[in-house]
Amino acid sequence: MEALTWTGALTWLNPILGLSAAIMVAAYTAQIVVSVMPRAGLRSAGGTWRAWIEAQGECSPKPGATLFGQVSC
Amino acid sequence: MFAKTGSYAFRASIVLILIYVLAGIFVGPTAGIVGAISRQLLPVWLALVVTFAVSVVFKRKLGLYGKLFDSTVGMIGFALVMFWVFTGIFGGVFDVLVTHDSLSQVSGMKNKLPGTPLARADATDYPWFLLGGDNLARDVFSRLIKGSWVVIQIAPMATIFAFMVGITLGLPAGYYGGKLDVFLSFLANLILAFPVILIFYLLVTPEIVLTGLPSYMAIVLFIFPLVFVAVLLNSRYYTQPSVRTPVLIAVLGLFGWLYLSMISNDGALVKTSTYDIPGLPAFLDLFDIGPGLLVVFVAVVFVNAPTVFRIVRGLALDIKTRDYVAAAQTRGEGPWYIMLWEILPNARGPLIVDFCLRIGYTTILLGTLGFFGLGLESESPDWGTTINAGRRLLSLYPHAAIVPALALLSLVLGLNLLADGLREESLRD
Amino acid sequence: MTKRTYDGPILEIDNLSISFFTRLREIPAVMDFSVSVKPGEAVGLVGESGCGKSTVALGVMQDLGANGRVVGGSIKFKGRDLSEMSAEELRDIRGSQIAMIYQEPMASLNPAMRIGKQLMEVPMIHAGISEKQAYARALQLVTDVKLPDPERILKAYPHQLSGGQQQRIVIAMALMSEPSLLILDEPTTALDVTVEAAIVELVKDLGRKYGTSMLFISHNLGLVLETCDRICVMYSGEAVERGSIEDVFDEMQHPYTQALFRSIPLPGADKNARPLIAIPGNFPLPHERPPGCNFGPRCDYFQAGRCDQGPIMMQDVPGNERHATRCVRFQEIDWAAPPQMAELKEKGEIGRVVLKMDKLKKYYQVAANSMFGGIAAKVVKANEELSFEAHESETLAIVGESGCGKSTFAKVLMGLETATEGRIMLDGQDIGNIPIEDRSTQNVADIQMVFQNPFDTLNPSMTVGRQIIRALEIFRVGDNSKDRHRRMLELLDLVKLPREFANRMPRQLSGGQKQRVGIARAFAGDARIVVADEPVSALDVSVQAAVTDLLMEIQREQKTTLLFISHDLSIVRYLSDRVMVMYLGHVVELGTTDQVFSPPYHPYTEALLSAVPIADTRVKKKHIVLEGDVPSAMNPPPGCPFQTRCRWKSQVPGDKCETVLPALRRLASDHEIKCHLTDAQLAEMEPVIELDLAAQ
Repeated sequence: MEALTWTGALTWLNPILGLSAAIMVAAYTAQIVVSVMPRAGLRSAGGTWRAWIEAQGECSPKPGATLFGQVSC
Repeated sequence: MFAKTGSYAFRASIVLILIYVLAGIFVGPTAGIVGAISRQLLPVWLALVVTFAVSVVFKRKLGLYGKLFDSTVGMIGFALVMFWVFTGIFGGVFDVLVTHDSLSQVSGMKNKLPGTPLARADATDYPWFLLGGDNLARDVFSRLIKGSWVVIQIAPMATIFAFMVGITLGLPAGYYGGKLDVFLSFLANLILAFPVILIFYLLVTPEIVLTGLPSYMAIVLFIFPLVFVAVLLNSRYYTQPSVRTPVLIAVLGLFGWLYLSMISNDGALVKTSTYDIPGLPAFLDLFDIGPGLLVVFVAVVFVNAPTVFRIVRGLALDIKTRDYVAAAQTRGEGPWYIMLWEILPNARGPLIVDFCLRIGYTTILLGTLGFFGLGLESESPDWGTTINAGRRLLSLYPHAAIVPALALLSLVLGLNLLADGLREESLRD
Repeated sequence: MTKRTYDGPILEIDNLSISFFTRLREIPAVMDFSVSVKPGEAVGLVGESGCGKSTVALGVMQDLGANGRVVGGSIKFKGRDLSEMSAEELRDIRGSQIAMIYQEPMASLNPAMRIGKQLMEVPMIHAGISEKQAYARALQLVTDVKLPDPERILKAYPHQLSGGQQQRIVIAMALMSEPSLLILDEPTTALDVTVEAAIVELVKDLGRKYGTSMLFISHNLGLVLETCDRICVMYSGEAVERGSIEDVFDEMQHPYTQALFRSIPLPGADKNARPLIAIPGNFPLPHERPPGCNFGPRCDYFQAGRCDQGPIMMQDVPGNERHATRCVRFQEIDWAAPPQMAELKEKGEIGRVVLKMDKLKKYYQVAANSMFGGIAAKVVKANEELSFEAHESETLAIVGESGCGKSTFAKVLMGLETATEGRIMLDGQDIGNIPIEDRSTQNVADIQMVFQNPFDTLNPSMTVGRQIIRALEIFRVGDNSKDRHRRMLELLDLVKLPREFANRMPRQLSGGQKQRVGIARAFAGDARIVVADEPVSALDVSVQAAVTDLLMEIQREQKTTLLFISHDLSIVRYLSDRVMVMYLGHVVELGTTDQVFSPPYHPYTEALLSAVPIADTRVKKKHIVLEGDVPSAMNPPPGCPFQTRCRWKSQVPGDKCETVLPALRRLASDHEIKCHLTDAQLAEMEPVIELDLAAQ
């Protein structure tokens, strides 16, 4: 009996999978990096309190929102 | 733009992985180790496909479980978890997936790499060690499958016990408040403040085991499900004694028997060098839990219960202010009915999510215990113990440790994703 | 700045359609909606919950969330289409030219930031003015919104202020950047009536002072009458009638508007002689709207073949181009025709005394720390010497604002708390000191309660039928489960719900239906005394009438004693036989409905009456605005509890009001009042509400 390799007859697929996985990782990383870059004019929208309202709106009325004792959104 | 590329690449990768798996099902070992494993796991794939097909078709009628199939993250998590559940059931109960006996040693296979053919194979033997051999020349793949059954059994059971304890104590603490709450919360904090590993080491120290402490703790901790079920039924049916009495007798009889079987070993509840407390006689004893397993169980319940207690207490504090609780009070319902039938069902969302997460933690905890050599016997195929055994040769033959480590990782990841999906969906509309 | 140079309409909404997209379907929330707001004008947007009025406001703010989208029409602000503006411009407009005030004041304030800093932030960001100028402006506005001690307020954190004060701060914050348009989304719903009256007064004044246009969103027709110049009535996503206040209130041209006015208790309505007319049927769900007129299925004037064909457009009323209606038959309907009267109801005979309170007192010990002791315990006097009687088939209304002790009283009556002193006699048996677990099943079943919040009154994880059956089980009604199931179906019949509802979950029911289930549950053990804690205040106007009627009907049939707790004096006037007014745990006035609602009043009753918004243009009201807030029950003022806010205090010689607690004295038979004013002074009081019949 021969020793088995990991992917046998499908070895030709490995580079494709590797490439696609690499692209995926690169794209998601780039997306994260772009999203945390400071954008111009982010400060306004009526100030911080509006962001707070929005967070409240999503969070407060759901009864299931309390997880681990505190509100988790 | 990046988001789109990423999502396409993600889908492409998934499709490619599926191709490996599907090709493997048809051509088997021709497609290498992956193909061979894929064919070996055929029953698991079939079960997964059936589960998903049925669930997706009926997802609108299945409540929260059905909603899970609207969330990609939840579906991935569910698939990972169910993969291991089916693997555990098929491999552990029906004995179908494994290629070799998980305990027997095959000569010439010590520390062999994945894909190595058997040195002297009979016609009936599976011709390869798919994931190689460990330092005692046992098949890593088969041990992985057998180990999954151990993990799939113990972690949820221990979590259920922890939940029973946490709920039974957390509800009154939150509902009554006051001194009871202060006292119970103090106890919970005390346990939480204690280093977990230290508790484990203490519990398995022979001197401590000899005093019978784990047995006493088991007697206390395992009675909670019994109390829980009794109170649950009594509070619901006490207005109709003709229904209540037979139901209670039947259920309590069954649970009592299970409880006594669980805590008695060799006809004794507690066995120390100086005294014995007699328990259920051996002919009535349904099953024995090995002393190692008992310690693991007790320890896991003991450290998880306080966290559950705090969650339940917080939820009860919130829900007890609702009008339907006031309505129940004004019609003269007893406190336990209110806690168990008015408050608990409405706290189920967060509790289900936490239950999934907690199985994950427990799995890791069991792995940690196994790694430290606590609890289960050293030849047990469970993943923690296996990782510990493979650790010594990690730099030379990493496969024996990495395979169960990856398995543990994927199961816990699956449970976390599942919990995320459930939480996301339960918060939606 | 070019702020004031534009003189067209401030806001022009033209054929606006907004939809929300869910996983299952598109839900049209607003359809073909048009309205324009001129400079300095206040436009009211009225409708029931779910009619899309808040969605319009969010559309103006261009803040529809991830699922909402404008699918047709345009919103022009000062002539510029908002949908064509860049995110940058929108942000600028939102903060500095359009401001929004939400229902819940606490949600609009950052709890971790001092008031002053939050106020100053607005002009500093949008107008770029210096910190010093911003502080001066903040101080000016806090003075403008009539808050005492502005400098101290600026240094306070939001939680240190009362609800009314918080809402004033939110208004101040909205005005900080001198917006041209102010959107108020139910700004007073979370507040007490007297506080609400003060806030409304303030908004009106400030609107005049700053020339701000306003879009006032409310479900309360009376409030809109008091604040707005024009009104737009919405129903199920569409504007159904639009016009000036006078046009719509006095010459309504849409059946829905008419039905709405007939279902609210205006002065002159009477539960026996002129009962309210509830709108039949239910509000259609957004994805189940009928073809043609949305109101068609509930309309008295419905004509098959015309009202259910194709879309119906807004049409101008001939002779008045600023009055429009969405009804194909509006010119055929005789709008002046009197409503078809339901058959006159026999007034229930008021029977013997069922419940008697005798000097009931309830004090709470507020301990500082239960485990480690410490600071001396404080006493909260929640109820002081309640004495009254309630008769069979009588409705006794208990009126008062939050913190007046009415809920504590209900708790003591139900047995959830025990009385500190005094007695509660139920059929001659003292139950004041018996907690509920020691009361007999019969006693518990006799006194039941209907709760305020319909969304909270039913256990969400149990079917409707199961919940009623559970009440039957606990009251030991019926011998077996079959018996109880039959009785449960009968109870559903009693509250006029279809029997299939037994298998429904509460989330599948509307608010009014849930409230009916709550009533059915309360009557499971044939309750003789029902405490109704604001049973309709959380319901929509059209549903309120139906639920009120149901309560009245059950009362007539079962001779129930109804203790109706409410702050809504219009509904109290409509349905109660006697009224008890409470303030800070004291009964300040007790009498028959007519006695309480006409002079002489207790000064507090007078203020309450004046605060109630009444949706009738003929009503002339005296404006009495109470200063300040209700004092804390922890630290009540000495002497008369109402002395801190009373406008008659100067009429009483000396410092009697500050030092002596007035005794409850009898003015006429059954009319008691707790006040130091002399009989002559009381007799001089003028009625607060006058129906101006000449204007008709």
